[in-house]
Amino acid sequence: MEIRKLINARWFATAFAVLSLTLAACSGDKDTASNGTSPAPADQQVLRLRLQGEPKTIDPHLSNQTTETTITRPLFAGLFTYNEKLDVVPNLAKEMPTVANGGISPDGTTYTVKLKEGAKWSDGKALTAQDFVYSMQRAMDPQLAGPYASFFYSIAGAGPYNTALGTPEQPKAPSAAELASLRGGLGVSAKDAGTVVYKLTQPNPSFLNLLALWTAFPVRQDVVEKNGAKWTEAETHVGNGPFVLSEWRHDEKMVLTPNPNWIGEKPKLQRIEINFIADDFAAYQAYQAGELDVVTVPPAAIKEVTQAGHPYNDQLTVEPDLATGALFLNNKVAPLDNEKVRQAFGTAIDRKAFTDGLLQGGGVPTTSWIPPGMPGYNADLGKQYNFDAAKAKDLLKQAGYADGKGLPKVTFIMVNSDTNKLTGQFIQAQLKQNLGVDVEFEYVEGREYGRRFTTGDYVATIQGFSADWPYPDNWLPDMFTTGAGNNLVGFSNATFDDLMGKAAAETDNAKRLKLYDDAQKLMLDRAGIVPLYNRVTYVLTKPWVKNLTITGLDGYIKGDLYFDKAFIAGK
Amino acid sequence: MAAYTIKRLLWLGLTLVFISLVTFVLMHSVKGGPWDEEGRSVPPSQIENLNRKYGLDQPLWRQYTTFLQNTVQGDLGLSFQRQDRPVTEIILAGFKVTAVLGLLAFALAATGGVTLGVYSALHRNRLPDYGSVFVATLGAAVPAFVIGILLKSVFAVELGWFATFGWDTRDGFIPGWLPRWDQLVLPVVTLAALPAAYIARITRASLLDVLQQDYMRTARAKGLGAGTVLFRHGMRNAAIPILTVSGPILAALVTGSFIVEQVFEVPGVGRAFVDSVSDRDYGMIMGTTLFYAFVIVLANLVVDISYAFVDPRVRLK
Repeated sequence: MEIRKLINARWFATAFAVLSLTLAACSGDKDTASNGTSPAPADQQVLRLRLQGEPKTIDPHLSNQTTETTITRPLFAGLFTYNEKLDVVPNLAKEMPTVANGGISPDGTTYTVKLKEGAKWSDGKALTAQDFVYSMQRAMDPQLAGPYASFFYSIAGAGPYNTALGTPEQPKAPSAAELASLRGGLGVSAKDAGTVVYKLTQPNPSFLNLLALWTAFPVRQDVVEKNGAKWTEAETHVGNGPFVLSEWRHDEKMVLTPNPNWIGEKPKLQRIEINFIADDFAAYQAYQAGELDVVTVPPAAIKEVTQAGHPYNDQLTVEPDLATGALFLNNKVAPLDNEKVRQAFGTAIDRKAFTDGLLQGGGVPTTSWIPPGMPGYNADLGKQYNFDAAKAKDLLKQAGYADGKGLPKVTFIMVNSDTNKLTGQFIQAQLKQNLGVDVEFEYVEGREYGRRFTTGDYVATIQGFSADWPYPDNWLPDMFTTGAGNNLVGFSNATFDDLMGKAAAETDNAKRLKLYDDAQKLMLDRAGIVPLYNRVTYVLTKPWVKNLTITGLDGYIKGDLYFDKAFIAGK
Repeated sequence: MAAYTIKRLLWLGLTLVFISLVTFVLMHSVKGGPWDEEGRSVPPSQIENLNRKYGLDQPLWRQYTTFLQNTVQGDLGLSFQRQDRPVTEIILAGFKVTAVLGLLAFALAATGGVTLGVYSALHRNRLPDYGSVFVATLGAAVPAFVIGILLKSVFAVELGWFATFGWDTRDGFIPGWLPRWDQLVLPVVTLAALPAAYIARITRASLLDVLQQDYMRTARAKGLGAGTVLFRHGMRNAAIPILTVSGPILAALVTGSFIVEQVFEVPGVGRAFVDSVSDRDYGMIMGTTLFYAFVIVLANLVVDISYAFVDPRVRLK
């Protein structure tokens, strides 16, 4: 599960942006627009992109940040992927498994997936079902400690194997033989060279979404075992995606080139350069100077590029992300354990002022948790929290704190950055002005924030959450079920837990979505979380970049699901 | 002399041990560890696995002694956050970039600073003097990141003369050492601005002082040419204070280009050092701190020893 940084800013980011904007105010664009649509010659098929610094890993089983997963997508291919509408579609799988074609057992616990014939690794070796077996065993290996492993606990034996070494409180020391037996007992097997079989402990209708996740991408056993952690270096890397890693100049850039053994349509791009540029505004300037072909617009420049008549109007794509930003109010800590107080907070914030003023259009107001653009979105949920100061005050009165009198101090924690301070000041002012409540903001350093937030050692914070896959089971059970791993707000409700249990076992999609909808409504009515906005990404693409499809599921680099289709024309 | 050097080297070792201990204690007393990622809850079993992998499950004293043992053998361990690359490898790769950048900036600062200073001194209290004092003051007063962003916005974004980012030594004009020229100019100028201003000020003051000396008047009186007077008699004497500050300036440039590395995305060791702290990359924090300490302590030692050669009155014991 991934909760991305809402706003990331280096200490001088603001100064940087202000200075650069002032200087850039009179700038004109140097690009010449072109309408050519037939691909340019091979030597011009170069796409220049930006990543926010060096990825910590590109091993699919260890990746968890969007800056990491975005690199795994062109380099590896799983059994399934997403189409532009974000439906799961076969990638290396021959077809979609269904109950009708025998791919899914009638009880929903066995998935039999046939591989496309002729699939190969980038070095030409045949890709077999055994590679998927090894890869899932590796992904669940407790010694590898992959961050996404727990998502796959519905596979038989995955939980016991992945937790075989115990916890700090209760460490276990299994013997090598015990570990090997747990590994062998994992519910993944190769029926033959072209068929992988997954056995689940209970039906999981989102299982194909999981198989489309980077954690389920295959890695090459002999390469990994021979090179250890260095197997992801360009010199030793072997993948199975449309591109291969031909250079990784550490702290500088990566270069991807087409994989000659890719079984899909051959990519037209001959070279993808991924430059590591830490600062958002520096990347924007590099785009202005014509050194990058695609860039995400930093908040400070959104107003400029969206102005009518700005030369970038035609290069701009506004993409709603599958992401929601919200107030995380710790349901277990006074006074926020009182649901009326949470509801009062939720009603006291002018979301439109937040998205228009503070985010400069980098978000749209929402009161609902699951974002638009994916199943489970319901615009009508949480409507009672639409900004209404009088109602908010009344709710606070009902909670026993008329005019905020006697309300214990609420302290928000946030990562120390200039942008977060602006966010903090905004929320502080709203709650003061509309509710008469003084809240405090404490700005702490990133890792300290991480520790406090993930261990529940906080009263309130503001966080964004973005989808790993487009289905409500990524948004509700793990975050709001009593005692669940990522229940960071401490929400607890027996009816909700019951609905989650029912939804997990329900195989009919419509009924399942209804159960999730009921649960989401319940959670929002109780103000388990206070949604504020859905994130919107502004992406600039040079006119000569064609066919680069941007979706709400993209990782850090926009278009990462479709590099194999993109090309350069009319440059 | 030999005894002195040996004594100083022993002290160097002790200093480094002390610094490593302080760093180690500070690093572990700061809240938040390497696996506390913002907004992600990693299951305890996973954290335990990671701790075991990197030896963080051992008692602190054992972790420290292990670190010392390995360091003595020249092994600074692995980076926690960078594909398990050896810390030594990351530092050396970054330092090569930082050192080249620093040396170039030093060369520019020295020539530019001295030229400006001499020019200023020769036109004392006239317009050119005020002009160069203004430039020098500007260079000293404006922070490097402002200068960097300013230069970048004007010369790279607006005029398109230079690249806005990067230090690509693979395809550079001296492959392996120098990047493309369009990536080279702005970072070097930005980094050189402050020391150039400083050197200009020192040069001006020092030369003004020398110009008023009796021997200068004598030199002029005996009919020597203006150039000879200035360079043979003036600058030679005026150079001593400049040389004195040059050592520390060079050391500062070679270890202190972090801001410039950030603004122009130069993959130097300064950036790696700062990132390691916010990443809680324990291996990198210890390695880079020790490395910097080593460079600085060694530079001081070299300066102290060189005094004995420069000035015979200094007796080293």
